[in-house]
Amino acid sequence: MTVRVALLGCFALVLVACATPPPPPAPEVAPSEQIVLLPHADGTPSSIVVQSRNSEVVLSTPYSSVEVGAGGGLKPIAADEGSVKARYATEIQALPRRPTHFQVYFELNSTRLTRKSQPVLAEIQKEAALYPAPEVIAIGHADAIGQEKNNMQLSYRRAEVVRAALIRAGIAADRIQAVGRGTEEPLVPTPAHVPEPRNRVVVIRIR
Amino acid sequence: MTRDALQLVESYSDRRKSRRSYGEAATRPNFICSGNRIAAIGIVVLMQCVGCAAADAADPAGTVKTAQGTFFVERAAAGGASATLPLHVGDAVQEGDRLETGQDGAAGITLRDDSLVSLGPNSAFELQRFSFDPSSNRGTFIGEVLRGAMMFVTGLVARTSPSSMKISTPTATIGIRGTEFIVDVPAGSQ
Repeated sequence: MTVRVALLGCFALVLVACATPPPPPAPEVAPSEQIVLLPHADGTPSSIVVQSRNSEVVLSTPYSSVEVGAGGGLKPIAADEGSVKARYATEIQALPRRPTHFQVYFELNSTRLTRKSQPVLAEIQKEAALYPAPEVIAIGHADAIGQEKNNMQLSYRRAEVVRAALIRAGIAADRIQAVGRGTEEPLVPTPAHVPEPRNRVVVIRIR
Repeated sequence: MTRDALQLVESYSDRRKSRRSYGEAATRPNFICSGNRIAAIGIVVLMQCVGCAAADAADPAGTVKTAQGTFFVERAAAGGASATLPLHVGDAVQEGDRLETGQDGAAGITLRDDSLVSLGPNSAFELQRFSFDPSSNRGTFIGEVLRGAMMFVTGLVARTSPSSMKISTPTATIGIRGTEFIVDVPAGSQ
């Protein structure tokens, strides 16, 4: 869900840029290799470096494109959102649903979800069902109070709670992996024996 | 569904109530392990080992998520031969696979590092090298667009170490700085 919102934001930005008159379409003589940079879904800046055997070009604005000439030369070509989306509609449509991740939080020393996280679990159940051939990994954590071996077990059982909920939602059991990390790799690093509710968490990655 | 899940949470936490010295709240050393607890620890360790081993070899590089029309893989088989197999949603993609679509085909795969690749009609892509370690988010993603148009959305490999991802075409190489892009290699363009 968050991914989709980010995408919309991103496209809106690009559409504003497209309000300027579009450049004339590039004449197509012979087919040649083309590389097109697309906007990053989360809106962060990005770029690619295209190298041929005798030149190099950095693309860093959305929809900037380059053509690889017969002699290995790299020639910028005119492209905008509209032309790219029309020309590559099939590829864009065939792209898998974007992976996403969630976090649900637990009560102290417990596999009981916090009140705030209970609706999030319901959202995760719905979201996971939208993925074809879904792959889910639930990574459980515990905060740094108590013994590590107990925390390892607690974190795994928290992950198992999420796994069981997804199985109830109809996701095949063999497509969901539950892992316990104990106090290793905490989301919020703390010294030993310091309580940290944000580390009583299961991170759920869905792809 | 939600209600079931919540009930499940309740039943877990009910069991916990009888052991207040457990996990985060355990403040004194606990030398006594019930058989129950030992078994549970065994499961935790085993699951983690499975995860580690999978990162090395057993796990496929990715999974087919969308497929239409003609879509198949040319995969190295035992004895140096190669096999051609049709691919469907849910099928695994492996390092070394050469994926091809027909005139009527299109497909999308999600790699283990969350990279996305889609293939348009009449295209061929070779996943030359792929590895990914989920605990460090490091790995390698090297592929070649042999023919056709493809869209790439980079994943964790490129985010953690951009130089570990390279996509090449017959005449160019694309280095990544964390992004999405299209590569179009029309038939007969070389």
